[in-house]
Amino acid sequence: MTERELFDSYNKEVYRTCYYMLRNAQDAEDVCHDVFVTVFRQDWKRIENIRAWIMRITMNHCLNLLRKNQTKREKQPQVQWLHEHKAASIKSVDAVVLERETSAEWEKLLKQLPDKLLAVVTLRFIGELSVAEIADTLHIPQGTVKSRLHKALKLMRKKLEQNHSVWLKGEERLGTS
Amino acid sequence: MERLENQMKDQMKHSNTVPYPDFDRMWSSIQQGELRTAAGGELAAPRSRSRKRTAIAVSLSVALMATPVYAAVTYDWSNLLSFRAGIETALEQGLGQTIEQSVTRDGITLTLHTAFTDENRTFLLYSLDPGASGKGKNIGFQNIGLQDADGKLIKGHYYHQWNEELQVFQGYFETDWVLNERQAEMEFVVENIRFIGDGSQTIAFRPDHPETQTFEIQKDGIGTVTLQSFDQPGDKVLLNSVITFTDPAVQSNSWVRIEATDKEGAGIKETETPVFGAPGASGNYTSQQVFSAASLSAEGTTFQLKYDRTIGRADGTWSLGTSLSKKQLEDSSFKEELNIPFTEVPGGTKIAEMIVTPTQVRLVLTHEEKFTRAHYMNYKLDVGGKLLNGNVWTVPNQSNKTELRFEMAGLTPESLAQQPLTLIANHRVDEHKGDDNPVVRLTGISTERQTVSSSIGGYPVTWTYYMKDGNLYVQSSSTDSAFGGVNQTYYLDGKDREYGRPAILGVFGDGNNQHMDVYENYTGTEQELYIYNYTTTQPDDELRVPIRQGK
Repeated sequence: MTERELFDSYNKEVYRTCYYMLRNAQDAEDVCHDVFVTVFRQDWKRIENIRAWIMRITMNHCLNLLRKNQTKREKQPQVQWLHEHKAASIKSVDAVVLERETSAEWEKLLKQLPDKLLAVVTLRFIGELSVAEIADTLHIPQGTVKSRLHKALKLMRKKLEQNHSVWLKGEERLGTS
Repeated sequence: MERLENQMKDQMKHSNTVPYPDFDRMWSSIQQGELRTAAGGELAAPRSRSRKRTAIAVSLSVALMATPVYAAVTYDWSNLLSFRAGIETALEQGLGQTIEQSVTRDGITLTLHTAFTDENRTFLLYSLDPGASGKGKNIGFQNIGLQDADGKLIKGHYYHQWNEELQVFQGYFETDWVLNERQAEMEFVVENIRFIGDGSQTIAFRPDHPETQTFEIQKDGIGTVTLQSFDQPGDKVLLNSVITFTDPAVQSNSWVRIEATDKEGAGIKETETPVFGAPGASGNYTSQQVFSAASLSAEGTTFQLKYDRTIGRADGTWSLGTSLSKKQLEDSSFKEELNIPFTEVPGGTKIAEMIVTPTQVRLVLTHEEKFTRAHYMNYKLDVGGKLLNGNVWTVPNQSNKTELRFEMAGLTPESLAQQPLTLIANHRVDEHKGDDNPVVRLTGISTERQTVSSSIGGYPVTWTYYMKDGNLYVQSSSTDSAFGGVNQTYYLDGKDREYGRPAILGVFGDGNNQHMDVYENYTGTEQELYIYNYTTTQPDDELRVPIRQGK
């Protein structure tokens, strides 16, 4: 595989990971660029699991930039995701709500996930890494990966549910804006 | 939740709401090899800083006082310690000796943070804030070390990285010197700082000309550059550069290399890992870089000599007194006698003992035959399923001992003591001596390239030979990857052996079995050649030696 072929194979996944993690296109483009510069400075042909390795470099770049920009960053809208006000009464939220959500809304909600959860979710769904590979990348136990994944899904479900009810009933928004 | 999960995956991976950038444009920019953000990951190189040049005031009369550091800045040492995982583990466990003392002189602040006084090495974490006078991309020290009560400087090596966020260099100093007593008063000393920037000289090298080309530089301590190109199989070109220096100090710390750039000014990357700064025949500085032939001969390709250049100095001594103690690491260290025969390695080898400290595990090998080395390229220690990476180390002044050292990544001596241990060695490389019979006969030697085949130890070897600049070049390679390469050839002049000088640097067990010798000022037309030795490699060969059962 040539450098160009490697770039073409992984550029979309690396970019998407950066885009979701950093929540803006300019930073995502810069970090995506730097990830490949970093990769090509290494002896990448000798790496066995190149996907996991690239995703790990990507995540490290993203987390480093997030850490660096922490103070500058606008405080993220805090979602009161633990607000259990009507979950119990609604059955099969998946079926009712999911079809109605558009991509744009998904994205808006995804961007509100805390960094820790978002890191696990992007590595799992964009990078397609195994639980063990994610644990290795983020230096956390496999159990923590699983619980963060679960927490992220639960949180998304809650957000979708809230978002949905806000439109339908015009109720007071619960911090999802 | 499965449905939600699928939908989320679909959204994140395939939705068209993510606006892709222009990947073609990004690709052109990637080829420049420059980082855009300073937030690079663990592998990123430090960025150069653009700072105003300011005069460095040297005032010898200022009394320097070491002051404790109260700042609440927490340093992240993980990038710096990526090849010193055992130190990082000990640091995380709070086993380092906290020092946190600073000294400022001429606006430059040196801080000694933590010390690790291990059983076979002393390791210090420092940071250096260059203040307003800092410039360039890096700094170097004329001297760094620990000074004992008698004023003797104990040297070692140092490595540091620029921390963009904190605007300091974070580094470590490592030496194999150890305390004789449990505690000693020492001074950590840094002398004469130099600020380093990039130097560059264009050279009018013509890759299509086969003869040796020499360029006068006579600047920044560099004398001349001599370049030779050699065609390699697979449409590649090997550039061999020999550099002479007018300032010997420049040789050891300048990382001089040749850079090729295409017509758009983008750097052309080597196709194989380059070798820089190997000592040449007369102690000069030799580098080898392999490029694709097409990229070098493309129109508009230019060549530059690149190097680290001193752009400023801050002379003086930054010194911090401290009391080093073995206590922190010693308490949980232990030794165990093993005496396990290691029959797969020749020379009567035994795994004699194991020494475990919070930072590393050492297996001491003893050999009945001196200068024996274990014949594997990679070593791992399996500690109850967790693998520690290791390397072979020679023991100074003890030719019948070698050591396998493993950094203690994420383990404590206490937890290791309970686990089963297995030594895993793989990628075997064996050396075989040549005998008294010639391996090949070269006939009709001329400037024309000729090839001849022969067999060494049952492996097919192709020889290519030709005259260039009055010298005879003899290249050997094998299509059988189990053949590791010839190490050196010679011919007999009466009873004397005339050795060829290796013109390609051989790296033991690197999977490349090409070798090239040059016989300077050669006049014959026929020659029988002998070999000193050759290697064979078995990359998949793996050996497991149980060290002990778990408790």
